[in-house]
Amino acid sequence: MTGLMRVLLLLAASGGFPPALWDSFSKEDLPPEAFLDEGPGLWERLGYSETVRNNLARLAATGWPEREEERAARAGVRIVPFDSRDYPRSLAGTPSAPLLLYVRGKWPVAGPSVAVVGTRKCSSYGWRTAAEIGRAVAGAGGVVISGGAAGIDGAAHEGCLDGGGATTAVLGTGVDVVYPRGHEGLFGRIVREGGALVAEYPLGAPPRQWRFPERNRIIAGMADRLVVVEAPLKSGAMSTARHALEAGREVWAVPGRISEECCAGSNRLLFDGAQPLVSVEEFASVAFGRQLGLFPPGEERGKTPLLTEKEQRILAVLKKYGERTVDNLAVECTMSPADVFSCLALLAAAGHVFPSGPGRWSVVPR
Amino acid sequence: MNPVWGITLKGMEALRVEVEAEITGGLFAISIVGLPDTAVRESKERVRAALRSLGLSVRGRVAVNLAPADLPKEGAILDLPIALGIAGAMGSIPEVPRAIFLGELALDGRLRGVRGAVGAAILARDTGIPLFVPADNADEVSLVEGCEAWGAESLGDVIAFLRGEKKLIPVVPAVPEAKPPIADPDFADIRGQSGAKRALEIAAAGHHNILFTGAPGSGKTLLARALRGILPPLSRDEFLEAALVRSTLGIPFDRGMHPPFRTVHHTASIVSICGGGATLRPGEVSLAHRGVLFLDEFPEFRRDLLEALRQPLEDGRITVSRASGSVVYPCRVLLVAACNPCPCGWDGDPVERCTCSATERERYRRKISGPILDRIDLHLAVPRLLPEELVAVESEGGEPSAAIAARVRKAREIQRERWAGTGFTCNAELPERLVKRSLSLSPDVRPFLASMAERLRLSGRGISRVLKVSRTIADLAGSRDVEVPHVAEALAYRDGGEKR
Amino acid sequence: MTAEHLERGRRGEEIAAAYLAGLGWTILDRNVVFRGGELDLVALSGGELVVVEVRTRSEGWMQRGEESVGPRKLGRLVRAGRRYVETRGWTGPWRIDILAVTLHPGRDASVERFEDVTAGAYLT
Repeated sequence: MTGLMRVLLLLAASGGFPPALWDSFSKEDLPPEAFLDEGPGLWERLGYSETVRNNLARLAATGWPEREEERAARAGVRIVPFDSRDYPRSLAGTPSAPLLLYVRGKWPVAGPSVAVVGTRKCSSYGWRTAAEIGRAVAGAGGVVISGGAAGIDGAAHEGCLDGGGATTAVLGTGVDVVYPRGHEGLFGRIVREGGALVAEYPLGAPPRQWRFPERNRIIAGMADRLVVVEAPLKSGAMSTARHALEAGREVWAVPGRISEECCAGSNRLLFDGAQPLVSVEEFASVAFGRQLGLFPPGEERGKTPLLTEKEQRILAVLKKYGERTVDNLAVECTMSPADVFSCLALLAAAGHVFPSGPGRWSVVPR
Repeated sequence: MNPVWGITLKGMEALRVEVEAEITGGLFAISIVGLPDTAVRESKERVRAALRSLGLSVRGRVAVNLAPADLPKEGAILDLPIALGIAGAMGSIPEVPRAIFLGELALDGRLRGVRGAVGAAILARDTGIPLFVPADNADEVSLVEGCEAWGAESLGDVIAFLRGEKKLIPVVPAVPEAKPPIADPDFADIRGQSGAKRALEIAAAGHHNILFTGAPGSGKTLLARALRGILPPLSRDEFLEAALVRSTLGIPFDRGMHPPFRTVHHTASIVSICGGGATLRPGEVSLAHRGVLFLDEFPEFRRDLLEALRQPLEDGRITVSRASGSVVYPCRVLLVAACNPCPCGWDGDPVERCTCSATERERYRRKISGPILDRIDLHLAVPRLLPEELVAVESEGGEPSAAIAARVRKAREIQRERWAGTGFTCNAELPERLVKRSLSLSPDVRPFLASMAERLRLSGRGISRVLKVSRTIADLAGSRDVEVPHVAEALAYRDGGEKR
Repeated sequence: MTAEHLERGRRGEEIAAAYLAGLGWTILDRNVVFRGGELDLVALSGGELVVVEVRTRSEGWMQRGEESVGPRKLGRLVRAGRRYVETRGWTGPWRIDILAVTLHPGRDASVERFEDVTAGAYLT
C-alpha cells in the first residue's frame, strides 16, 4: 500500500470531511508518509478537530488502512484514489472532489453520462418519466448516474437497466450496505449488468442524514449533464442541481403540474434557466447528438408488432385527453371493458401505456 | 332385544352410538358411562322429567352405557335414545325397531331440533337404517335422498308410535327450489365501474379468487357484495355439502340454494375463521364452502392466519386438530379480498395526496404479498371515480345482475360438462399440472403467451393462472378454443399488471 | 334433648305414620337404629321402599322442618338406608322422603311431604 493510499483511507474514516482535511495537509507540501510520522502534532497544527485527531490516532494505531484494504479485496470492492488513472476525469476538476472512491462492479463505466435525480416521494408520472429517460439514455449508449435512492433515482436506474444500459449509483452509505432495503435486487442488478456502486465512505458506513447531500456533489460532478425529474423546493435533488451549476454542467428539468409540491423545485429550476425537458426523444438526441427509434434497441428483437385498430383507438384517446379510467375508455372508444382490458395489456407490454393510479392509465411519456 | 341407536358427531360425520340401559334396585340414581360430555351427562335430568311427563316414573338405580366405550359422546342429541333405552328397561315400551333416534328433550317431553341431523341422515342412508328425528330437523333430513326418516314432535309421540297407537309423519325427500341469486346491491345500482364488473363476472363464472385494490370510497366493498347477485346456483351435491357444514353448527340451510357469502373481519380469531375450539367446530372458511369468503381490509389480517389458510385454500379441505383428535372440513371457497393501494389509501389518486413514506408503502405491500397472494387469479385496481367521470359513463345505464348471472350460469355449465367425471367443477379448481394439457388452446396462443411471459417476466405459476382465467373468458364468450384476445384480457388481471 | 322435645318428636312420628297410612302406604318399620344413623320410618309405596325422615316443629319456629336436614344428616340417612336394604334383603328401588310436621295449638297438625330428597345425587 502506498503512503498516499494509507492517508486517504485514514481520512475517509476520520469523521471529518476528507477533501477539507486533505486540503490543509497538502498546503504543507509534505510527503504522504509524514502525515503518520508526524502524527498528532501535525494534525493539531493543521487545525483538525479533537474528534478527528482522536479517530485518526485510533485508526492508525490499529492498522485500520491495511485491514480496510483487505476487507475490500475480500468483498470484491476496488478503491480508486484521486491520482489513479481510473479516477473519473469529469470529477477531478470539481470543487471538493472526493479523495477516493470505493467501487463495486465494473470500473470505469464507459460512455457519456447523464445524472438523473429527483424526490423519493414522486408521483407515478414522475417515476415513469424518470424510467423512460433512463431507458432513452441507455438506448443512446449512455450511462445513467443517480443516487440509488427510492423514487426517481430508482426509476432512472431501472429504466436504464431495462434499456440494456449500464448505470452507476453513488451511495450515501458504504458500497456494501443496501439502503433502502427494498433496493437489494436493484443494486445486485446494477453490479451484474455492467454498472457500478460507488461511495466515498468506508465499507459498512450506515446511512446518515448528512451523507446524502454530501454525495450529491459527486453525482453532479461525475456526469456530463444533469436532469431533475421531480423535486420539491427543499430537497436533495435541488442541492445536486446547485452542485451541477457550480461545476458548470448543463441542467435540465421536467416540467410538472404547478399545483403539486413534489415538482415545485424542478419547476423553479426551469424558471431560473434550466433546460425544459419536454420530449424524451429530443433530449436524448440533443444530449447525445443522435436520433432514437421508438423502441430502444436491445428490447424489441425482430419486428415491432403493429397496433390493432382497437389499440390505436385507445392510444389516441389517452394521448389526447391524458389519464383515463377503464370505464371512461370503454365509453369513449365504444368498446366493451373486456376489449379495453386486453388492449391495455398489450399496449402496456409494448411499452406504450402504464398504470398511473389504481384503475387509471396514461401514455408513457416519450 | 334390539339395541337403541343414536348418534354422536365427530366433525361433520355422524357416528352410530348404541344405548344400553339397565335398572336395578337401590337408591334412585342415573349414571351414564361411555365418555359422555357435559351435555350428555345432563341428559339425566331432561330424560327423567320427560318420562315423568308421560306418567313414567323412573325408579331405582339406572345404568346407561353408550357404546363404543372409547368414542367421546357429545351433545343433547342422545336424549331421545337414552329415554327410549330407559323406558325399555322399565318395560314401558315394546321392543324398539332397528333404527336411529335423535333428539333433545325438553322437560315436558317435547323434542327439540339438534345439530348434525344432515350427517345423521347421510349415515342412515349409507347404512340403510331408518331414522327418527325431531320435527324441527325434518327439513334438513329431507335434503338427503335415499334416507328413510320420520319426524316427531315429542317423546310421547315416539312412544305412542312404538306401541302402535299413533302414526308418525314420514320425511319426504325434497330438493329445495333454486331461487335466483340475491342481488343486493344489484350491479345496475353501482355507478360506472364497468371494468370491475367485468372482472367479477369472470370471477363468478370460473370461481376465481379476486383481489380488489382501491382508495377508500372507490366502492370495493359494494362491488364485492354485488358478487352475490351473479353467482351460479349450487348443484344438488354442492348444496348438500354446504348444508352438511351448516348442520354441524345447527344453522338452518338456505332455502333458495344460494351459494354462501361469508364476510370475515380482520379482528376475528383464527378459530372462528379456520375452525377448532374444544368441540372441533367448522369455521367461517368452511361455512363459505362452495361460496364466497370476503376478506375486507386484507392487509390488516394477521399473518399467521393467512399462513394457516394457504394450503386449505389450495386443497379445498381444512384439518382442525386438538390433542383429542382431528377432523377434516371442506373449504372450497371463492376468495374475495379488498385492500388499499397504500396505508393512507390515496396513492395514485387523481385528487388526494398520498402521505405515506416509501418504507410505509413497502411494508404495506409486503403485508399483502405472501401466502395468499399466490392463490389469487384476478387482480383489479378500482379507480375512485370523480364526479365528472361518473357523469361521462352514466348515460350508458348499468346491466342488471340478472343478465350477468345468466351468462355466468351458461359459462359454468360449460365447465361442468368439460370437467365431468374428474372431480373438478370449475376452471379455478384445476391443478397446475393439468392446466397446460386440458384447456384447448388455439395454435397462436402458445407463441403469444411465450413472448408475453418473457417480456412481462411471468413465473410458471403466473402463466398457469393466466391460462385458467383465459379459459373462463373464452367460456363466457362461448368460444371452444382459447384465442389470443382472451389471453390478452387475462393478462390485464395478473398480479403486477398494475405495478408502475 | 329436653323431654318436651322428645315428646314433640314422638307426637310427630305418630302423626306421620297415620298420614302415610292414609296415603295407602304400608309401614314396614319404625325407629330402626344403626350405629351412625337412625331411620324414623320405613314404608312401602307402590313397588318402592321409602325411608321417611320426620321433622316436627311447633308453629312459628324459625327454621322450617324440611330445611333442618343438612348434607351430613342426609349422608347418614343414605348410609343407614343402604344398611337397611342390605340387611333386610331388599333388592328393589328405594328412596328417601322427608315429612315435615307442623304442630298447631288447638287444631290438627299440618304435614308436608318432600319426595326423593337425594334426587339421584348419590351414586355409590
